Amino acid sequence: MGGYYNKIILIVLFLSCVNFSQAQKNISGYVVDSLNGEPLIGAYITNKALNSYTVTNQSGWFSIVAEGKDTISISFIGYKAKTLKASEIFGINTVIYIRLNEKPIIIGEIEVTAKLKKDKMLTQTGYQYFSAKGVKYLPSVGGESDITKILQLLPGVSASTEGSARFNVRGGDQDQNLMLLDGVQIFNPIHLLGYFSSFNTDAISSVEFHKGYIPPEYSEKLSSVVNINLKRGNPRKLKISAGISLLSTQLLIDGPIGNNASIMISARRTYLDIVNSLANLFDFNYSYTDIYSKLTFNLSPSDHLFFSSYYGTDYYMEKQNLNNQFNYNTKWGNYAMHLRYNRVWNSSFFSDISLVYSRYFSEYKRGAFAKNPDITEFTFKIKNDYNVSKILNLKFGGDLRYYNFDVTSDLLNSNTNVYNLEAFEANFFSNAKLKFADYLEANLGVNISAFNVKKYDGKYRFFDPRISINYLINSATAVKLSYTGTHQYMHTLSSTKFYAPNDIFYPSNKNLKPIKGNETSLGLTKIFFYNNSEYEFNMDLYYRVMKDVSQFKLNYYDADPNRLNEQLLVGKGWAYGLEIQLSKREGRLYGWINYTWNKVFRKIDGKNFNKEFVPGFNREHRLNLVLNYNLSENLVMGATFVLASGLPISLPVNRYFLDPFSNNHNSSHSNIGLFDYGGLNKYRLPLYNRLDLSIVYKSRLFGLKSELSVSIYNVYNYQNPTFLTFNPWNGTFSSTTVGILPTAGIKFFF
Amino acid sequence: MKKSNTFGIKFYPQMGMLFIILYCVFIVSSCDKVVDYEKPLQENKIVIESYITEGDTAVNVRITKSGSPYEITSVYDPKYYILDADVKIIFDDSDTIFLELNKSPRFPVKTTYSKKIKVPSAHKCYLEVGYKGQKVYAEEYYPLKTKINSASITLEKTNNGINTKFKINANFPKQETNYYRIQAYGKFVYNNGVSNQKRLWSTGYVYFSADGTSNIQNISFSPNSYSTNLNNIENKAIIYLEHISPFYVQFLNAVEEQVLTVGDEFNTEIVQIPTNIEGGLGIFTVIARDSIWADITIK
Repeated sequence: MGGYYNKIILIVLFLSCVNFSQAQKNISGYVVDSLNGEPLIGAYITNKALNSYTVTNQSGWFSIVAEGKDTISISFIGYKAKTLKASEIFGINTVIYIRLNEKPIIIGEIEVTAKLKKDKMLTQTGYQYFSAKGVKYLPSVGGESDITKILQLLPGVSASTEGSARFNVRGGDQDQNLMLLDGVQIFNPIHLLGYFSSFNTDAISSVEFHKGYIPPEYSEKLSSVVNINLKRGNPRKLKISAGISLLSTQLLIDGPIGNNASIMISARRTYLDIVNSLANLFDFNYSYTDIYSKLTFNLSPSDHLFFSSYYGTDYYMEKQNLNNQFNYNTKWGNYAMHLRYNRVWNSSFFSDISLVYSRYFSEYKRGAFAKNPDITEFTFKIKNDYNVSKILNLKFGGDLRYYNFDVTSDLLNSNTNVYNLEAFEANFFSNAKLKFADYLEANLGVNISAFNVKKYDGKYRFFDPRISINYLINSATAVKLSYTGTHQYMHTLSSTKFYAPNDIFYPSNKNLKPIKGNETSLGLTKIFFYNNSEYEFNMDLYYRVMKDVSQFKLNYYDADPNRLNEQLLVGKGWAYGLEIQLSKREGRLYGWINYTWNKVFRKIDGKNFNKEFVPGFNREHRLNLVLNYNLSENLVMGATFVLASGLPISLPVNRYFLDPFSNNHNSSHSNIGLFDYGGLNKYRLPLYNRLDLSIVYKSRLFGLKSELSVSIYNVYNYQNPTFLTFNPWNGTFSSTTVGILPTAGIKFFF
Repeated sequence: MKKSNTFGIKFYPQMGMLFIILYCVFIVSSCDKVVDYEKPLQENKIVIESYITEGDTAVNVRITKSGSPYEITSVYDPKYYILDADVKIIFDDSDTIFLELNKSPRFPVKTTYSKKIKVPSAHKCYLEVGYKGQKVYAEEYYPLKTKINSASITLEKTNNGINTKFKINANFPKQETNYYRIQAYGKFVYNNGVSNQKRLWSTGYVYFSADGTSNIQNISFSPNSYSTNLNNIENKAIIYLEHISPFYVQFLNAVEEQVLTVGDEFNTEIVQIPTNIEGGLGIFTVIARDSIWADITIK
């Protein structure tokens, strides 16, 4: 392994020497939206004269080599492309801002340009980017679009259970997805028993999703990375919007503070508890709240300081005594804060320095008794982006993390202990992006990490290589190959099949090994034009293996770290599949259709009699159709259709009885008998299908600009069984189904 | 260890209601209903239940068949009984015993195939059952007999019942985990002069594990409502230390776990009950037993 790394260093050093000529210089700057100043991540910058290109990083920064006579073109999906003379930029001694204008919605279909775009073909396998604007009009439950529900419409991603905001990616468990909010890990971003995510689309600017190839800067999770970027706040004009839907009320304030700073504050809250208090409908109450904020300080054109924060809670109360008071209170949620400093050192070097605090907490109070299991993270990290030459770009950095876990099991039992575990983690990463030729590009990366849990002797070190190669067959077709080695030190141990706020976050230790994974993907991207519209075709094949996947034995747990090895079943998992997607990214009608075929297996010692089985979340076939249609400037329609295999279930095939009077076993079974299932998850629920529609009407109401949205979930009221329960007494099944579900919301802009 | 149905989602007694609110009130369209789901094909299997105990005076094999899980039924339904099977047991590949039907007229459910013999100390025990062209079989190896050196029993009367404590000194093998079952029978003498041997408790399988690091094992279990009334007990009891197989322990745990969780698929995962019957269901196990008379101390 060390030899491998030495070779990478040698290659990097060699390529660093391939410098540019005297006439060539680096041009660097930011690409931003002209209206709201949001950075455009992944904008494509080309210099045709030198046959070179680059893309903007997560801060919207780029650096490209050019000569004075060269023309630089900047393009981004949904925006009008721009061209600049390099000579004009050379004269500017400060960092430049390139402001792109959004294309109007109704412009007919886009014009065919002479040169096909290569930006999409040069991204790694499994990468998806979308702006919140692009998906906010899609159908939603409760009248609010939910980013995690949109992700579930991508190939290789599926909801863990019907309606859940939790999801599985390429056969990974639901705790294997890294959810980052502005770079901060949100440990449990779920509301309302997992049916809605904590991410409010109002506050979001864009979302990046990585599966397959995961860049080396991300080390935490095995299956995917979801990077949700918060809005920075409009630097020019104060904007306020407020809305109400069947789920919650929302408020967004977005605007400048003086000349060099901006702010975004977004809040939403459910009002079910208020209605309940007034009408006294139930003996319990529930509410959730999300508050996001982001402050942006433009200290100088080269220096930016950001402070973002998030506070989200769920609050559940219950009357458990006779005096009609809520005496049983549970509360759970996330806090997050992120202080980030960006600096452009020169035209080829960019740094991003962060201090991160994140906490997931849960509080259980019943009279005088209380327990507060939680997890806290402090992280210091540095990321650097160095454009060494026209053929080499380097990203490197590292982080130091401190975790504090309070874990417990039976939360209502005052005899159960709370165990405190402290863990330290250090990561170093580097990624060399090599442009060998106009048609060949490679990313050679590595993540090196060390992890240590105090008290419980858990010390681990990993070296995870990450490699991707993109080969352009012609100007419209690319083949992509990637390999990603990953590991995961953080485990979510759950005692139930569904989300519960008392899931335990547990660090790897001597009794709980890190999960290790590797994945190989082979992809094909083709861009073509039909009827004056641009289409993109993607096909990915993948194979992945996961080792040391752990689960609790049967249906119980004890949180004692010393006894974990007695509690857990450990095994391996593997998955392979094919994902095909056709998408149209611009124009009056845009959207995508995709098909996923995937086989997923687990083999866990002590489970299913040590035979392999299909995990309960796997839908072998899945077809998604997502459409947005701009009927006019004021009327937008959205539609999503899902057709998928039913979820795996276990069904009894035999009932039998042992001697009801015997002392050789638990004879209480003799009322209903014992059941033989013939295998774990051997059967499947019926085919799942659902059509959702939405319509958004933009108008003026009470003198204010407004958006009225109506969504219909499950338009043709198909009774998809979301879950099947077997009644052992009479041998019948009962099922929970979700039928047609119309919802509405309205939003005003001040 | 805690069972999940005491916490998890059920931990919030009305969270299930919240789930229904979500779909019924908020969203108005959800419902729970009985559905006619396509049932998997079911094939009747032969079910064996047999615990061969070294030194016993008989071998018994209870043979029934399985039925459909999708109909209302009872353990007493005669359709489960098999009364015309061919049953044989072979000890150490040589000593073959053919078992005969032993009908229980009062309790047909207790009907077994049996043979009165002193169960030998063998190495291997093989069972074969033939029924209407079907054949099922099982093969088990005897666990090592663990000799008891000495033992004592302490019975503590509490308000909740009787705490039972054993101290056993035995030659526990120094190897991987071994599992043991304890049974104890006390001698009771009544006012009319009649004496009787009775179990000290009626739950059948108090078991523990030992890895041989110590010859002395202290076992205690909490009071339960089944504890025998101690008023007429004499100060001696016979203790049986039964070395049982890991498979039997696995079977016991799975039965108990399934009884607790079946029908609660929303919260729990299904529990599969293992079987060592090739082609059938149930359990065939061999137990190595040693016994000793022990003093009883009552506190």
